[in-house]
Amino acid sequence: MCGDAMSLLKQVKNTEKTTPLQKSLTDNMVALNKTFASSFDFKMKKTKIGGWDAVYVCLDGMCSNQEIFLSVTNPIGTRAADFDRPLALYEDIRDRVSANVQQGEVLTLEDAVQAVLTGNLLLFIDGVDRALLFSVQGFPKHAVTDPQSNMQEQGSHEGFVDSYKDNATLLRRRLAGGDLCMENLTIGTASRTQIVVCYMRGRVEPSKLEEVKRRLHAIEIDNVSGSGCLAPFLEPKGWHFFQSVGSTERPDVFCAKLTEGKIGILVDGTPHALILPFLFIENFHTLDDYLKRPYYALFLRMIKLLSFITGVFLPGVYVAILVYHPEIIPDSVMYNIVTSKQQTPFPIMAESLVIHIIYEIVREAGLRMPKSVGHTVSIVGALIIGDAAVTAKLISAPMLIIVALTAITSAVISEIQDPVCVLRLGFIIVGGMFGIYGIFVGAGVLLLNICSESPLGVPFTLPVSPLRKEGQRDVLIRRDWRVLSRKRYNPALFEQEEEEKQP
Amino acid sequence: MNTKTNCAYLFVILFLCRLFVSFTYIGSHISTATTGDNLASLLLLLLLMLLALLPTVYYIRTADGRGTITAAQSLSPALAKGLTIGYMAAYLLTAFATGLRFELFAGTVMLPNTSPVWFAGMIFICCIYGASRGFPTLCRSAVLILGLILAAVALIVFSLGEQFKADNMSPLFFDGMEKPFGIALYSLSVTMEISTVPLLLDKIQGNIEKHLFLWAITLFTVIALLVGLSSGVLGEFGNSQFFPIFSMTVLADFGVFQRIDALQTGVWTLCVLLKLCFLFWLLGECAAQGFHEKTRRFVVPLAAVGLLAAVLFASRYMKDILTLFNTPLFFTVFLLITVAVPLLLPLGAKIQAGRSKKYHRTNLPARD
Repeated sequence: MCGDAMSLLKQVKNTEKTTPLQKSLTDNMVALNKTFASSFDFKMKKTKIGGWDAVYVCLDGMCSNQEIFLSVTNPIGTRAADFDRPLALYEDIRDRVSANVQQGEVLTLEDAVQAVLTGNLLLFIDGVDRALLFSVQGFPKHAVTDPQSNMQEQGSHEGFVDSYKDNATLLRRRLAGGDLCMENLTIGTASRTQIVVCYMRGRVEPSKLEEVKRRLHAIEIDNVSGSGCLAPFLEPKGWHFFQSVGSTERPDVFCAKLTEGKIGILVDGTPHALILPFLFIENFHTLDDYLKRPYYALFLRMIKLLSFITGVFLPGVYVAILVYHPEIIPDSVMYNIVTSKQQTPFPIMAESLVIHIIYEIVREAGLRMPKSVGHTVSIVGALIIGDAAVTAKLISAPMLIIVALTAITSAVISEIQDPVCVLRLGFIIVGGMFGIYGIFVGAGVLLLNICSESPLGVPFTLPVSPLRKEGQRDVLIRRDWRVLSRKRYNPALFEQEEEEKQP
Repeated sequence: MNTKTNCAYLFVILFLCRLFVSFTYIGSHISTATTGDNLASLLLLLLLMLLALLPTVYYIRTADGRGTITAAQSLSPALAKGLTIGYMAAYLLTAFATGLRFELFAGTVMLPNTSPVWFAGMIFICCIYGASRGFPTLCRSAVLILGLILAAVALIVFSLGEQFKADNMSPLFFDGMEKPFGIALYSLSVTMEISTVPLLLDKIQGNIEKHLFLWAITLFTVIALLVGLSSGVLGEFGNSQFFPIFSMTVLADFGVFQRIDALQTGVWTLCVLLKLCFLFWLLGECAAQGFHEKTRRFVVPLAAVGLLAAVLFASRYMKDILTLFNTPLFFTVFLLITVAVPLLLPLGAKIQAGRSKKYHRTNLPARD
């Protein structure tokens, strides 16, 4: 939840219905009580300041009591002078009391409610038709730790947290050059979640930025549970297997993308930040690629690409070859496979589908269970179910090896693990029905689906197709930093390049 | 933003579309030809193709970047509609021939034990999806498929190079010019891809003429490589095979893996998928240009369903259909849309411009 007083004041312009605050303290408190009547955490502290009745209003648990005492009540209380007019008292506190926290003013009831809901402290004085706002958030939040996903060998051990303000601070520390811009807006009629659009001035493509902001403003949603809720609104229309909005928990990766001219989005309440436009090839890039030697980066990327191909196609190809094209496999290997397959009762396609679904069930169970039990479930699933099934001749050993291989390869490309799991099942079915030819037709459709995506008008398969020579330095081969640092390549400028090429 | 696509991508699509015809050319169809005749016909094909490109080049230089249907609309709306129907009929015929050829290929060598209805149905549904994705998607996919195709061709050449025997090659023009010329004319008549260049002129940019000739020469090179290799490896036996190129791949092996023909054929399946997607998209594009944009939505699925039914029906009368393909039907259609339209439209525009000038001159107000 937010706390920026200045941004709160900006929201006055966006408020559709405004009820001005009254001069009467009682009237204001009655109005606030109507909104917060059923909330146990709504606190009102009556006091007298400078001879006038005043009330502090906040939500218990959202504000830091220590901060309130040190920064607000103590400095105000020590000014013992009496004032003959309540407005004079108000102006004295506003202009002369140094509260050590961000201050502001609230003029309407709606703004007052919003300010309280977002962890601010309000001071109402009897006889003044406005309230003073103090940004004293102190709600519990997660500390900055290692990111849970996007694990890296080298690189920082700091990951994004739930609080968007802390995340913004992490970015500021990494991009201290002054070009980093962060604009915030509120999304969610019920949740009023704070969203921050981040970009680098002078690097971002202005039309793309405006488009992102337009799409964000057009979102009508009740509750923003996570950044995944926003991604569909930012993606191009149509149904696509792979997400064209990237996600990361790492501030270092996020900053690197911003310096490439991309647009980042922080979402309050979730450590997963969004990046767009996101290209398909970036699913195979990690931060380690850029921190290690280029030849090793090439090796890593080849491994990832091979893992993707294996994870999607291997089970389907195995089924297709056994059913329709056994002649492809060398005789010695074929003999062993056929021998073990002969002892199992189920058709190969059904066997493959069942074992892969069981693997997904075990994986999901391991993910959802408490950590202390999750490991046990994985071991039970892998050893007992797998081994017992082979011993009982329910499935063949080669099939188990295929499942194990696909499981490991899926972990290598964890960013796209979700579509890979589903695609794998689809390819098992087409492979079982139409052999290798079905696999290729399916691959063709997958290729068409990937090529049809254009996040913010940038082809998803850039810079491979359409081919861009300057982009090839960081597709599979990662050129040396001495080359990469010479000239920036911004894929978001695609439409501009195409326009320039037109006669 | 309506950006034009680089013409190189269109030519990649056209290259793959035409290559599929070569992959699946029916050898026993011309079983009296020798290996020398096949190679000689390729040389003649190159000459004829370069000649056939000239009307297209003339159109590119005179059309001012407008596609043929757009140009016809400025002459006469009725002409534009007639031209649209002509293009659609030609591409329907091409799609029908492609579907039938693939159906024959799938039914005889790919999946002889599987019902063709399901496989063909799946292909056509995928093609409707592909056509709905639009021209830029087809262009991007074509580039990636090209890499696979070239890898497949390189694999064939690499694995069969040792089995090439020069003794299998008979002298060129040994029995005269007639048979090679006939084969070359037939091969030219199934090269409908050339007609798409003037049609899509307003959608592409770049040095179109250069890419056009590069496309023709590259196509000739790859086809010559495949046909030459099949002639050298299979000899006269290849001419009695239904699909000689496929028969050649049966002999290919790679390390411990023998019989990689299934993998090769699978890669070729991508070609037919792209070709049918492109043809269906062309049908929709012609309808949108000639009639109304909204017609695109129902033309593609209707055409696909109709074609699927026609292909499945015609597959029962394959012999008669192949005989029909031997007639001047394809050549006539080729002449009309590839030679006549690009030549006559600019001439018609010039005549209209001349008449309009004369009209303005004779209708100028008299001087005082």
